[in-house]
Amino acid sequence: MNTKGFRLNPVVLILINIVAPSMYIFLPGKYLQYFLLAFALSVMLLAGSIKGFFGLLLVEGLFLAIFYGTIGVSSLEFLGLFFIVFAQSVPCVALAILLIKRYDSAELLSALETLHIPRVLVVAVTITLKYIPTFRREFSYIKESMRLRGISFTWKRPVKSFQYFIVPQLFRCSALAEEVSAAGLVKGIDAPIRRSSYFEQKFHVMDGIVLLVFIGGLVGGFVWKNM
Amino acid sequence: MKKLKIKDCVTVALLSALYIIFYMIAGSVVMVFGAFGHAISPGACGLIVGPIIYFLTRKVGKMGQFTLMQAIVMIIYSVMGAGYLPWLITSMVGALIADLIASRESRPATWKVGIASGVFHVGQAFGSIIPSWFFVDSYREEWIGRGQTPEAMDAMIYYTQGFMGVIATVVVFALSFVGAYFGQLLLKKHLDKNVEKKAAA
Amino acid sequence: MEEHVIVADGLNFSYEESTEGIADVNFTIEAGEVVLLTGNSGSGKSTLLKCLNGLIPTITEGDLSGMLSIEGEQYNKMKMHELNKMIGSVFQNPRSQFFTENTTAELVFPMENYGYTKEEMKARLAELTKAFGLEDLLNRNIFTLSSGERQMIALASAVTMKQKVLLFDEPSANLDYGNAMKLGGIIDRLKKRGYTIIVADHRFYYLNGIIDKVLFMDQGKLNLCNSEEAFKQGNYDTRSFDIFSIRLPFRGEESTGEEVARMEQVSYLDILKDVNLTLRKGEVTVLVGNNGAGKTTLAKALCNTIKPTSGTVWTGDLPFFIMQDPDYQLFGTSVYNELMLVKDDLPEIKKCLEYLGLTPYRHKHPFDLSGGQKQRLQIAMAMLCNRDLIIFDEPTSGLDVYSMQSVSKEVLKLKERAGILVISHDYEFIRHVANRIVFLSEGTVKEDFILEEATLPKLNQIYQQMQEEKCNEEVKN
Repeated sequence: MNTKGFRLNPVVLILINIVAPSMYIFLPGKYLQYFLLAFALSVMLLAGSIKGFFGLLLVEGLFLAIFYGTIGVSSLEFLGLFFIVFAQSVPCVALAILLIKRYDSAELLSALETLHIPRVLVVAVTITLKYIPTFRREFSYIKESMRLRGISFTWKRPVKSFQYFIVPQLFRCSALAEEVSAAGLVKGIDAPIRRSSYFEQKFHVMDGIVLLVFIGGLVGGFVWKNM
Repeated sequence: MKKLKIKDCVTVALLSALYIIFYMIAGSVVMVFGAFGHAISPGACGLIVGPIIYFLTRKVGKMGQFTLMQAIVMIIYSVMGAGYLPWLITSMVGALIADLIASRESRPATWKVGIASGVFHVGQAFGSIIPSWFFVDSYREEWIGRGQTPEAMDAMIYYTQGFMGVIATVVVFALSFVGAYFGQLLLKKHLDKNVEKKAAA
Repeated sequence: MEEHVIVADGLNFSYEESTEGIADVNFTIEAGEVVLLTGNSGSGKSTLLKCLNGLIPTITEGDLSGMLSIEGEQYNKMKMHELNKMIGSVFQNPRSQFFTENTTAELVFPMENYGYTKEEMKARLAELTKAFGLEDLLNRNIFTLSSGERQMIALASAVTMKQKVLLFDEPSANLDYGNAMKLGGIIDRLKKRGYTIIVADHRFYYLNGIIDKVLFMDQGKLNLCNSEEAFKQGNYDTRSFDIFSIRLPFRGEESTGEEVARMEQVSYLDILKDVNLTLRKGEVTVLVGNNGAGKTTLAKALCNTIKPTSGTVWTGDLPFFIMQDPDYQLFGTSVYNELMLVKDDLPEIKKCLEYLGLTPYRHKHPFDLSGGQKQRLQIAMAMLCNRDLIIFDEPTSGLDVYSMQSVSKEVLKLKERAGILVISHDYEFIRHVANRIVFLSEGTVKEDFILEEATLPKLNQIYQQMQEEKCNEEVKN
């Protein structure tokens, strides 16, 4: 984990990403696009991610170049259209990557608890998050086991192959559910107390400043549009 | 109507993990189709997760199952920075409707599962269709400035929006609907045996 | 009056969908006792355990009556979360007993559920770290831990709420010999610190000499033994207390059968180093070694799952590999269908099912079978597959003594027509089936000998060595 730079509260990044893309409905697209780009670039610098800074700049530049390169060519304008849609979501994707790279799932989950999400959902999401990598690993066991059984995946019989692949995993889920519930119950997942979080982070002044800049940019765009 | 118990919630959480894995696979496959692919990725997903949805209605079969699953998926996407407001709203509304359609009985007919899955995934698709209209709109001026006539431009936007909107909705719904039958096809023999066993016990 | 820690009075339970259950169970457990709960599959052992940890009636539905109390409080007046502040549970399946992928997150998980403040959690975490020697284990990915390390995390997380009563569910099923012996030592120390411990297991060699009471279940009834001695003198097969004293005939004799696999100077990353091994028909070769010694990697190299970094692997045809967890290998819609996938030959399938006593279950879904039945189904698959080499990975983990003996019988039958390689740390099972022992340590073959009267001390010494390896690790911690 990179420790240079400021560690933003993950809640800030999550909130920004939830809100930002939908602002295209209210704000002039080009203004928002460049504002988000500048904002995301500043966040990268603040977080000390030089790689993220140049990566974002490069990808966005590439997409815009494709857009402006194809816009005049009559048969290629669709290509440009697709790329500009991508280009507009690049800053948010960059922030998302920063979020996933810098914070582990426990910290991200604790961010949820700051947002007062119901207990049952927090526990359910905890389980889901744990089993995504588990199941991915297990799919490789299953693939291997299919090969050794001599029924490996073949495109000649896609349905049958897919069936061998997914059905046993579904049944395993239902058997697993009992064990996981048991393991959870003995650890108090049913306690009628507000859950706390070990990984909760304090809200710093810098987090507030970042949020203010973000909101300020949006409001500025709104004012500018209506002028 | 039965309420979701802890074990049901855990089952939904585990199936959601499988769901997300397949969602990611489907999403990366259709990405080659660009923005349109992005708009119909819930449909491609709806098709291959059919067995998961079908299994859910057979093993849990209680009110709230779709809503809980969608909420888990949305929270995880939000936490990973990929959630945004219109998507969250339309997805949750879709899931609520899906619950009303197919969660009032423990073994709903396959067509009901199909419709529920269709609505569930159309809800997700709307989230990416609606903003993409505005993405295109914001570049209208730009195109006109570069020599396109406003009429040609409007036609193209109209076409794109219509294409993105109507076609994507239909495709997503249809694929998800078919997905439920796909699920039934894969699971029929497996689940029938269970019924037999229970009858014998 | 002295307060009993746990009291069961006329406890009954019957399931909605099965005839198993328990009837009229009475016992008391005192503070600081180590209690063994044992019995064959289906004897009511797991039922009683589920009553004790409260999963009956919380998850498992059925008809419960009678009285059960802990520290004077009645179970039926308590909620699950209240009970679990008094009883800590350690389950056996590493796949389902952890909630997170991170050790620290796992340890604080119960405290978060009970709403502890961050300061309280920090303080408790520091206590646990000290008490269980977890310094090197904090903030690690649970998946990358060894089985012994995982066991420590599971144990520590079971006492985060300062529970004084601990329940273990089949702890030996996923531990190698060295780690099981180490666990025995830990249980002894916990007992001395005043914990009350209940261990439900088929195997109990690692508890030799520290048991105060045995709850032996037989067909739903409890036979109570008030000391380890009393239990040993009963009529249950308790030879497995001192596994090294078992007297069994030797399978002996070097096989002259056809060669089925050969490894020459095989190395793989830093896991395997210059392994030479030849396997023949008519021979059961047992691969022993602690977890992490490279046993599974060696099997994978034989199955062509991994390509060795150097050296050559030759096998006649693809070996049939029976994984430790049968659930990854079952694909069929019924027992019949599962076997049809192996070989489309109905008369032979029928013969095979009959031989293994699986005929009554032929229409069942493979996932609805019990652990022992799944194991037999896999053996049926191995019998039908016509491959020259069959590899078993820990075929007896979680099986009771009788199921283990029947697996042994079947493995011996299989060797008539194929070469067999077994990965196992089950001493008793090894003594039943092995012709030949291959001891793997740190990726190299340290010993390779035919098992007979004269070489038995060698095998016992290997076990001694494996135990010491684990205990040295402990000192390092």
